[in-house]
Formats: sequence, C-alpha cells, structure tokens
Amino acid sequence: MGVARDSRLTNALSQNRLAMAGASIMLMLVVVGLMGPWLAPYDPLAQNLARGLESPSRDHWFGTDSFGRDILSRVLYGARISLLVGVASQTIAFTLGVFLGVISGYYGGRIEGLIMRLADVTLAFPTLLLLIAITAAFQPGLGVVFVAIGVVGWAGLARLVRSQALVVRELDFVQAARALGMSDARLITRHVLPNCIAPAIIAVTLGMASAIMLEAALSFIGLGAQPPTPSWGSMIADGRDFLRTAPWISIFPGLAIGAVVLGFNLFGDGLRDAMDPRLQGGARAPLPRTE
Amino acid sequence: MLQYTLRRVVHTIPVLLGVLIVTFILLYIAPGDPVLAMVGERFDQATIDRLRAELHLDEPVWSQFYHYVAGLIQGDWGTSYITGQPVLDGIMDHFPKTLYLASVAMAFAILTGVLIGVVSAVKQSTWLDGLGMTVALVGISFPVYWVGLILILVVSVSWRLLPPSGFGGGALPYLILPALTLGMRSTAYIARLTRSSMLEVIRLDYIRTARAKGLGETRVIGKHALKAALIPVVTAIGLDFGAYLSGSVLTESIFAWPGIGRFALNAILKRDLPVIQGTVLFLAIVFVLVNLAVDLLYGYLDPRVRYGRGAR
Repeated sequence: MGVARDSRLTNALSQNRLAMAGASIMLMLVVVGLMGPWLAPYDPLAQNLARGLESPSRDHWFGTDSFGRDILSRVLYGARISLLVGVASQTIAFTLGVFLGVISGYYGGRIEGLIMRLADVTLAFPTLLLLIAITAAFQPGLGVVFVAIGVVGWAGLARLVRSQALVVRELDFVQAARALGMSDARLITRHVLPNCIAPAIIAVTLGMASAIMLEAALSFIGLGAQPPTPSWGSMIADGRDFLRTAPWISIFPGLAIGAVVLGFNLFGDGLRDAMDPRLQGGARAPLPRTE
Repeated sequence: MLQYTLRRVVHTIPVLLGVLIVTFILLYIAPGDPVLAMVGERFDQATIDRLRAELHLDEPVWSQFYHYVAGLIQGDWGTSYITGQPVLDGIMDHFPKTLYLASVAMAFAILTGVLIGVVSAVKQSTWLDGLGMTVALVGISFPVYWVGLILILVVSVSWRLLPPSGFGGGALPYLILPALTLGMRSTAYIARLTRSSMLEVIRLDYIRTARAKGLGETRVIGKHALKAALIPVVTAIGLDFGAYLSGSVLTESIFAWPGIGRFALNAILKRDLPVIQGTVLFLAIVFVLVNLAVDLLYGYLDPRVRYGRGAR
C-alpha cells in the first residue's frame, strides 16, 4: 500500500498502450451512456415503417430495423442501459460482498462459516442459469436483472474481501488499536475496511464487463429489457428473424458489446501486468463464464 | 489423498442441501397458483382442493419442502404443466445431447487452446504471439450467441457449407457450428492460461537442466514443460466443462440443438415451473459434482493442494 506503490502502478499502467486503449473504451461507454440522447441522430423508439430494413446509408449509418427505427440511435441509447446495469448491479454486489466479507473475515467462527457456506451455495449454481431462474421466477424486466446480477455477484467478492480481512486483522496496528480498547465497529470501519477494499474496487470495476454480458444474454433470451427498450442483447434477438435480409440489425449491437467488453479486458490485463510484472499478459481475466 | 477426498466430499453435502433449498424457494415464491396452472380454466373447487391436498400445498412450508425432497429421492421430479411428461424423463431425454455437444466442443477447445497457448509462449513477443493473444482476447470479449449468429450468416447462409441449425440425428455437419461456437470462449481462456503458465514453467531450473543435458527443444517443450504447465489448465477445463453441461442455453437456442439448455429455456418461456425447477436443480447438481471431480483431480495432480486450506 502507500503512495509510492500506487504511483508506480499508475506509471506502469499509463505506459501500457493496450491498457490505455481499454481505459479509453471504458471512458467512451460512460460518455455515450450519459450523453446518448444528445448524440443520437434519431429518436430510438420512433418507427417509420416506410423505411424499414434499410441497409446502412448516409441517413442511417447502421441501417434500420423492421420497424424503421435507426439502429445507430438505438445502439447509442443501449450504452445507457449497459452502463446502468454495470453500475447498479456492481454497487449491489459491492455493498453485499464487502459487508459480508469483512464481517466473516474479522469475526471468524460461526458467522464466517455461515456466510462462506452461503457463498459456496451461490457459486454452486452456474451464473447464467441461476439468473435465468431468478428472472423467470419474478417478472422479466430490467429491474429484476439489475438486482439479480448484483445479488448473485456478492459471493466472489465476499471471498476476496474475507481473505484480505483475515490478513489485516492480524496486523500489528490493528491488534494495537484493539488492545487500546477500540470498539469492533470502529476498528472495522477505520482500519480493516480501508485496508482490504482496494482489490474489491478493482474486482467490481472489471465485473462491470461480465454484468454487461449477462444483461445482454438475459435480454437476448427475452428475460431482460422488454420491447421497445433498446438493450444491445434484445436488439441482437430482434435481428434473428432478418439474418438473411438485414444482418446489420444484429451485427452492430453485437459489435458494441464486444468492443466494450474488450475494453474492460484490455484494461484488466494491463492492471494485472502492472501489479505483477512477471506475468506479461495471459492469465484468465476475472470474468465469469456466461456460457 | 483419502483424507483430502473425504474432506471435499463432505464439504459438498451442505452445498447440495443449499442448492435444494434455493430451487425450492424459487418455485415457492414464483407468482401464480400451480394448481390453476395445471387445471387451466376449468374451475371446480372440489378438484382444486383435491389437487392442492395431493400436492401438499395446503401444508406449511417446511412440510412442503420435506415432500419435495422425499419426492426427488424417489424419482418423482414433478410433471410438466404443458406436456404432462414427468420432468425426470424430459431431463434424461435431453441431457445426453448436451453431453455430446459439450464433449465435442471441449475437445476442440483443448486442442486449439493448448496449441495457441504453447506457440504464443514459445514465440513470446513475436507476431505469432500477438496474433494468438489477439484472437484469444477477441474470443472472450464477444457474446457467444452473437458469434453463433455470425457463423450461421457466413457459413450457412452465404457459403451454404453447413446446415444452420437442428440436430440431424447427431450427424457431424450439424455438430460443427454449435461445437465451434460453444467452444470458442474456452479456446480463448485455455490459450491465455496455457501461455502464462508455460511462460512461468519454461524459466524453471528443471527445464534448464533438460536443455543442458542435450534434449531437443520439441522434447523439452512438448514433454517436460507442457506437463507441468497444464496443471492449472486442467482446472479451467473442468470448470468450463461443468459450465457447458449445465447450461449451454444460448448456443442450444441459437442452433435449435435439442439439449437440456433449450429444454430449460422453453420451459421458462412457457412458465412451466416444474420443468424449470427440475432442470435448474439437475444442472446445479451436475455443476457441483463436476467441480468436485475437478478439485479431486487437481489434488491428485498437485500434491500441494491436498495439504493446503482446500483447493481454489
């Protein structure tokens, strides 16, 4: 920890061109997600049946779908949903994961046993399958998807934070503070939490990519965003029936997902290389498998 | 090894119990009355009451859970609302097709993934390495179902080389595209993992020794280095295989492959709750068991794991 190591890390990162490219893509997602309505040339929901299934042209750069809606505008609006799902679900996962992780790492014993068995059960389900089951049990829709992805994501984070907390609670200054009579609540918030939160922040940032992938998959199946909401996943599904005649309907939203996830992966790889220069690229990105 | 095996097996029991509870709760909280879903519009209070009693729906939750688990153990996994077919029969019909697809996809992923990984590691920082790792990075970034659609568009629609979808009695032409699509992500993961693991191993002393005693490069890399480098890859392969068995939902849906993923998805779209519950439970159990097998295999391959605080 400390300033010296942080600045070395930032240095190594900023010299990694691929990581910087990844960071630019992540930044672009945020900008487009916030500014989408001002950037989009058309209303993403406006139908114009006379101009349906048009191939990409000067008027419609990405073409139009079967309702004559402008694909470019819908892709730009879709960034907002992806950004929202990333932020909302990871906030939920972060809150739950860090809270339960610190509690189990700090207190240990029965509480730890219970929380970690709960984590085991959560991780025992294949992620996408569990999400499908949850969204199907409730009403399909984006709100359920946000919460479901967040709730399912807590377990990995809790394990991560717990392993950090286990180390931190044994450190001399924490032991000293306890010996001086500091209360548990104060010890946790003042000393333990700040010292084990960094890896969790990295994990949720990179976890946004998998949240975006999962939302897209659920919306593709029809359990996420409901029509006419322009989610990238549901847009790909919209194009399935027109694959022969108007492939651009599915192609562009898929490219958008790929580009964003690639950005997160590039940044994640760079981050790992910067923290462990011994490994130059290669190990598995912290993405759960969606399939 | 025996002690380690026992510990891991015992550890699995509470997890399986938790899985049972979660799948039970999922059905319990789902909106809609199961009895009404079964009898449809024919409202006859006497029949409804009789069915409620038969299904133990008039009993407290814990008793319903008991009957649920007791039924599962006796092979009664419920009956489909839509077809009236026993859920377990449906699962047994569809699972072998998923197993078939998953095995072929995984075999393809292992072959290509390990090859790309080894070449990238041996030729580190050359254009070959760059190409291999670019392909791998793209492979884990694009959604599987989208790649599947693009493959259908190019290979089946434009080139007319392979059928776009269906099972075709399991014939090879029908298998190629789904297997490629399903295996793509694993190919990418395995390639990345093999490369980084290989890079670590080829710097170790015993590899230098092997070279110093005059072994050819092919033998050093292909035998000595690869053997050690593949240990972490085995875990990845096992976990991915578990994930394939337990839910190639997207790939099966794209290619109309009659496996268990598509079976579950159809049930979800029709809100056929007993089938949803049964397939989710079955697939989660398969996933847990495959993970257990992977842990045991890992402990066997790498003795350090056995004496640590448990695998992973």
